[in-house]
Amino acid sequence: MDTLSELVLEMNRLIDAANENQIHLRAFGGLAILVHSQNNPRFFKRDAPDIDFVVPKNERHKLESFFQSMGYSPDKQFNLLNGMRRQIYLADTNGRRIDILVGDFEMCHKLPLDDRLHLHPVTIPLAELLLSKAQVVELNRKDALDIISLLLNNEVGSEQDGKIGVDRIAWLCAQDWGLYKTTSINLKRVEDLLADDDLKTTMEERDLVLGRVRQIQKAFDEMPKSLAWQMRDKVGTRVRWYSEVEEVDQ
Amino acid sequence: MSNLFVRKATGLVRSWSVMDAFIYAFFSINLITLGLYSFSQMYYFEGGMVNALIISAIFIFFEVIVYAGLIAVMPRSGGDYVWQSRILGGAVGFILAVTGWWFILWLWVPLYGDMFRHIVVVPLLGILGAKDVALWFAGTQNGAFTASLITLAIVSIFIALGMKTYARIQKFSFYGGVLGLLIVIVLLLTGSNAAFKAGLDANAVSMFGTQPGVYDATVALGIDAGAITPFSGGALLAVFLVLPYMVFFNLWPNWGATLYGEVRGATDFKRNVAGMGWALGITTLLGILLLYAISKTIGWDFYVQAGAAWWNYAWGYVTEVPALPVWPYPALLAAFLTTNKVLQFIVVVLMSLWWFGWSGTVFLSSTRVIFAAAFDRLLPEKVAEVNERTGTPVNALLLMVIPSVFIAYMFNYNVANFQSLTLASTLVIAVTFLGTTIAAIILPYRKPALYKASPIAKYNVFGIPLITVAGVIFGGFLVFLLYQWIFDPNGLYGIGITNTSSIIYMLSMYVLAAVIYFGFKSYRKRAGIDMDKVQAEIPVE
Repeated sequence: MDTLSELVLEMNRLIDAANENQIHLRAFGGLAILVHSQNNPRFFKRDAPDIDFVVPKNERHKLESFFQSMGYSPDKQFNLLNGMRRQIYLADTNGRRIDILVGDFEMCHKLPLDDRLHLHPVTIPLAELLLSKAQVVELNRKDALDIISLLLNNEVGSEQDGKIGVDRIAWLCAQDWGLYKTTSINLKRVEDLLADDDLKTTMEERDLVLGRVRQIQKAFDEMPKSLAWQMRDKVGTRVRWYSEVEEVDQ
Repeated sequence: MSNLFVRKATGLVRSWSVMDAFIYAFFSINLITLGLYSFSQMYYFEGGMVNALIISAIFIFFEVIVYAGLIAVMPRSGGDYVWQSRILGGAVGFILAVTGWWFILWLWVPLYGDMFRHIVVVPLLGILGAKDVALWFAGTQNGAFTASLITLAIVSIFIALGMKTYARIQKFSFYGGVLGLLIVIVLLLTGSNAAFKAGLDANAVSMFGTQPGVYDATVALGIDAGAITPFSGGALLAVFLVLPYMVFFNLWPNWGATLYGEVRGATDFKRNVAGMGWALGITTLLGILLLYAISKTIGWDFYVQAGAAWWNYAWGYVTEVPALPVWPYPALLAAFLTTNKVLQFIVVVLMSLWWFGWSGTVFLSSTRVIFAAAFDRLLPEKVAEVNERTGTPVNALLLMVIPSVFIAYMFNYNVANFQSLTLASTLVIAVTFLGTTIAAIILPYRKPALYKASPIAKYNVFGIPLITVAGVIFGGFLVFLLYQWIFDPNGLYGIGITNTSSIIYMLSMYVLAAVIYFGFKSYRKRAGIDMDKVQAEIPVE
C-alpha cells in the first residue's frame, strides 16, 4: 500500500505529465482536500486515499494511451460500459486505483465542471471541491471531516481571491434544489459534529468553521430562487431529490 | 454523531434509472410495432385475440419473476450469458446466449425495417403527398430492403450515442408516443363506423391513388384470405393456439436483462419485478383498450380482413396488389377520421416515436452479450473495444450490422423462402430463455451459497424457492410454445419441421455458435487458459 506522501507525489506526477500532453487532469477527493488543507491538516484523516481525477469530456479519448504511458492499465470492462462518464485505471506495479470522472462530477448530485478545470492547476475549484463532499446524501464521518478541513483552511468569499467561491456554491444550489437540500442537511451535520467533544477542536477552530458554514447558509437565504425551485421546495423530501450511488465491486 | 453513514469507495451513478429500465421493457413489448404488426398477421385463428393477450400476459409474468430474480442475484452486463454459463456450464451458456441474443437478431433487422416502413415511412410520405415514393416503400422489395438499411443506420447511431443518451431518446419517445396513442384512442372512441368508411375511401384515394370502394374491396379480399380471428372468446385450446403467435409481441419484458449491470438498484428484486411487471401489465391493458377502440369504429371484422388482405399478398399467396396498397396501420386508419391534414400528420409523427424509442432494442441488449463473452475470452478481445474518439463499440456493432445486411437481403427478396421465417426470430430466443429458466430453477440447488446470500432467498412458496416455482411454470409455457412451433400439429406457424429453410437456418446458427465456442476454448487452452475455470467465476461488475 502506498503512503500518503507517495500518493501525493504520484498525483503530482500524473497531473504534470497530463499538462504536458494537453490533458486537464484535476484532482478531487481526499488528496485534493489535503492539497487545500496544508495550514492545518489535523482534520484530514486518511491512511491511503484513492486518487480521483476529473477530466474534460473532449479529452476523454486521450486517457487510455496517456495512462498506459504512465504505467497504468485500463479496467477494460468497466471503461467499456461506463467510459463516457467514468473510467478506472490500475497501476501495473501495485494495482493502485485511479478513478476518473469525465466532464462533470456526478454522484448524488451533478456538478458541471467541464469549463472549470482550468481555474486551479492541481484540483477542481474550491467551491466544487466543497460541494463534492457536501452533496453526499449518505455522508460519513470522513466526508464530514473533509468539509471541516476545507472550511478551516480556506476562507469563504470570492473565487478570484483564491477563496471558496460562495457565489458559485449559491448559484449551483439555486439551479438545483436537490443539491441545495443535501448541502443544507450536511452543513447542519457539520455543525453537529463540531459540537462533538471527541473531535477535540479548539474554540477558535470551531468558531472559524461555524462562521464559514453560516456564510454559506446566508448565501442560500439570499440567493434568487426561481419559481421551479420554489415549487420543488414545496414538494420537499417526500419525493427523492438525489441520484442513487452504488459502490463499484472490483 | 450518529447520523453518518458507512461508505467504502468512490461511488458510481449507473447509467439507467429504474424508470429507464421500465421504459426499455415497455418498448420491448411494443404494442404499436410488434403488437399491431403481429395482430395483423394473426387473421386465421379461432381463439379470441383479447383472451390470448390476457393468458399470455399471465404466463409471461412468471418470466418476469424468473428474470427479476436472476438479475437481483447477479446484476451483470451480459445477463443470460453470465447466468447460464455460471449455472449450466460454459458451452450451454455460450451457445444459447449468442444464438438468442446475437445471431438471431440479424433476422430481426428486416423485421424492424418492415415495421419502420409501415409505421413511419409510408404513412408520413402518404400524408405529405409523396404517393409514388410511399407506394415504392410499401410494395416493393427494393423499398423494403432500403427500409432495412435505414433501420441499420439509425440503430447504429443510437448505439454509438451510448446508454445515457439512448435513455433520453426513449424517454422522449415514450411520452410522445403515449400522447399519440391517446389521441388515436380518442379518435377511435369518438368516431363512427360510417365516418371511418367515408374517411378510408376518401383518404386512400387521395393519398395512395386507390380506386373508390376500398372498404368493400378489402372486406372481400379478407374473406377470400380466410380472415376469422375473433375479438374475444373461443375454446380454451383455440385460445392457447394463438399464444405461439402472440408471444412474437409480448415475450420480451425481460429484454433489458443483459443491461442490468448498468441499472441503478438492480439487486432490488421487487423493483425489478415492478419495472418489467408494470411494463407487461400496462401494455396488456393498453392492448385491450386499443383493440376495443378499433373494433368500435373501424370494426373488428374489417380490421382482421384488412390484415388478411395485406399479408395474403405480402406472403405471396396472391399476386394482385390489395385494394388498400399499404399495410393497414390502425393509427393511420384512425387519422382518416379527421380531414385535418395537420392533425393527421401530428398523429402519425407521434405514433412513429413508438418505433424510434424501440428501435435500439434490436442491438443494444446484444452488444452486452458480445462484451461479456469477449471478457471471458470466448471472442477476440478486439470485439469489446470502443473507438477512443467516439466511444462507440465499432467491432461489436460490425458483428451485428454486416450479417444483418446479408440476412435483410435474403428476407426482403425472399431468397430461400426467408419471409416465412418471421416466427423463427422468436423461437430461437425462446430456446435461450428456456436455458435461462432452467438455470433459474436449479440456481438454489446448484449455487446454494450464492442463492442464500442473495436478496431473493427470502421468497418461497410452500418452502420451495419462488424462482424455482416461477421457473417451472414459465418453463412449461416455453415447452408448449416450442412444441407448437417445431412440430406444428395444426399447421399454424410455418417454421417447424415442415419448413426446410427455417430448420436449416436455425440449426446453422447453433452449429456456428458451437464452432466458435469449441474453437476458442481449444485456442485458449493452447495459450494456457482454462475456459472452464474462467467461466466458473462470477464476473466483476
